[in-house]
Amino acid sequence: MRIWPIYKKELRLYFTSPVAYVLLTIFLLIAGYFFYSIFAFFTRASMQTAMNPGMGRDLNVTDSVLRPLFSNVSVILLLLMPLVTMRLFAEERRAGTIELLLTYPVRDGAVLVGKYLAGLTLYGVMLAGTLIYPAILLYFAKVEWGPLATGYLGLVLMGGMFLAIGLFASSLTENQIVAAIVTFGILLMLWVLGWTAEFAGGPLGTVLTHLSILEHNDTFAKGVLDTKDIIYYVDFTVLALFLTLRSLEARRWAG
Amino acid sequence: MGGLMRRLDWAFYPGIAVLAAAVIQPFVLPQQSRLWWPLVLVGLALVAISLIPWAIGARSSLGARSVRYGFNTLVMVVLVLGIIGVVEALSYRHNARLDLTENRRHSLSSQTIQLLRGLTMKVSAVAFYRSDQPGKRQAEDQFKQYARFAGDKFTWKSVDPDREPQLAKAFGVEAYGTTVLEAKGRTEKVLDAEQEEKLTNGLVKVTREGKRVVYLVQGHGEPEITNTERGGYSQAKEALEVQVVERTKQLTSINRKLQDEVSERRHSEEARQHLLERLVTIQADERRRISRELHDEIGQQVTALSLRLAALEPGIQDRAALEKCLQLLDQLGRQLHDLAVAVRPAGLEELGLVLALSSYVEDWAEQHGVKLDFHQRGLQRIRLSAAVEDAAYRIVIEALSNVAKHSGASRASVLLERRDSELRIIVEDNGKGFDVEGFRKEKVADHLGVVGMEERAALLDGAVTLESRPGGGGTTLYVKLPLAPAPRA
Repeated sequence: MRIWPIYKKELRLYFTSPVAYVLLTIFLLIAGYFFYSIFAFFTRASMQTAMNPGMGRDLNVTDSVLRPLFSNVSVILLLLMPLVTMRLFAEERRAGTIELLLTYPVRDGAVLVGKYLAGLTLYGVMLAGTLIYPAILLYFAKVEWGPLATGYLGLVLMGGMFLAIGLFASSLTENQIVAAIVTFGILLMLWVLGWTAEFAGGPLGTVLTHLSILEHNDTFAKGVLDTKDIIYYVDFTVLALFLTLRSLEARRWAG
Repeated sequence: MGGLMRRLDWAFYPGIAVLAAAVIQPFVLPQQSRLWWPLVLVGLALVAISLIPWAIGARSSLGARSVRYGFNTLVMVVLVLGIIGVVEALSYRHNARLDLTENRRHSLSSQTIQLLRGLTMKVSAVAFYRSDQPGKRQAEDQFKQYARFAGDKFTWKSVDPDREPQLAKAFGVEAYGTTVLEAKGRTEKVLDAEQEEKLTNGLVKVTREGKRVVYLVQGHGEPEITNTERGGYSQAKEALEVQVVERTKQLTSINRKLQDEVSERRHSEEARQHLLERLVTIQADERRRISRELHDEIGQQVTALSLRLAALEPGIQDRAALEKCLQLLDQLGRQLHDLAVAVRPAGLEELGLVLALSSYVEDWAEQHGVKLDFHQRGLQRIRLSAAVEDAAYRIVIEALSNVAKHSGASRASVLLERRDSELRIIVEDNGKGFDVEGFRKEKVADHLGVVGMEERAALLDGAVTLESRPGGGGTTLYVKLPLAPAPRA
């Protein structure tokens, strides 16, 4: 498998164009704003608590700062991740280079994994930028390492799933905007699927709730590892990558 | 034709629009639920129509090869979807959970888990939270965990009281964040059920038979129980509630221990009863054996001896001495017989206490020339347990034998009475009487008979009381034997 050249090429494309920098800047700006407002609110709440003991006994850094921060970052990712992946295949299709790519002595799988890893690397850089917030917290307060680690694990798994779905959407069309919108649509639908559960009720309600991202991301954020949440993200990632592979293959026979 | 075909694919957009309408229908018009299926069907039909030209075109331009590939891909996709569905279902059913927070605050306490695992009745919870209420997620998380440990015993649903006000009214819900627990027709309202101790407390209350009430006097300037200001009782109330939860948890575990202990006690008590009955049975068997030996073996030998002696008569000089020997032997034989009869629980098993005693008493009165009254109350045609009957029989015989030996009485009476699940025996005589105090001070060996009676009674948790008036006042023996084991039919 010759993943490396593909990976290197995609990464270079990200970082030689403004895309990666703009993305990083905007992402960290919004995340930083969220962190600031959550932290400021927490500071005020803890000051009130200090003046008025007996109130807010449950005030702690993990639940009051990290947990909402992780949940807010998830929402930003929902909006930004389609933009990370929209280019990956759609651009190749538009420029016609996909024919070249697929006729290279490189397997489809290698192409897919290379692009996926490139997206994952960019995402990793984005997440690495957010590490500054826990570091700031650590300076002022005691941080629980367990929930911090699970929170980031949750973000990595969720981002991995978003990237895979984005890749799939990008492989369907030659228009980057269409790819982004389709990705966003799929992600948003998965996000809010649980809302209909209340009306559906019964086993269907259970299934819809389980399929909803909302059902899975908070567990990590609050410091709990649950096999069903990990498997959910991994499953959807694998499914999306598999569908992408089939979609690439379809180019060969459906022309 | 070609133009029509080309125009057909425009059906795709209305089709998608109709499907989208079907998706949002439950939100916008939840009461028009019969619209849903028609919308879905029409939408799917429109999409299918729009695909016709594409399908025709695909077949004519690409031929069998692409159809085969397409079919392969379809099968693979369906297969993978199926596998993922199964994996998801399995992971949903059998999940493992690891709480990495420092005090495991997102996991249920062991007491709650114990309570949930031990639930004996079905409990349903309806949580009335506004959809934007802060505690809602937390409460739902917690309900899930409760349901996980309680199996099918705990079901819950979440209701927005703003969207379904009539349901909230039916449950008598007056505040956001109220959870109504229901079990066996009883309901219990819990406010802020996202706090584990409150929900568990509610669960304990709703599954407990009976209810405890704390009264507080109000209206004469007493502090308000809900007042959160200085001088108010809200903190006290909360603390009290927390304590109640804690105490309830403790009580539950203590209660369980107590129940274990009680059942253990009951088992050992039963074992003791059983052993006692066996002891009495074995005693009776042993007596029967001794009685038989006395009568059949030694008695026969005494008879044989007296016959031999009688046969010696012609060669014996001292007729008077022989006569004396024969008399003694005859006496010995009769004593042996009496002893055998006395030892054997004769007729008791077959006849029952009353009949056996009355026949014995008749013999005794005749034998000793004492006028005797025998009465019974509440024992007609009733059999008591073997242990009690045996003890009563032995005690009466022993008492009468004492009357005959020591009292020199001319009259005696025996009364058997069953009352309040105990058997009372009174044996009375008009004899010379004796000093009970002094008698007690003598050596045990000198009054084995009385000690024996007392021991028999004590074995059955009974008691023996002896009253006597020296100088001709007579003697009375009171015996009480509990009838704790159920009477035999």
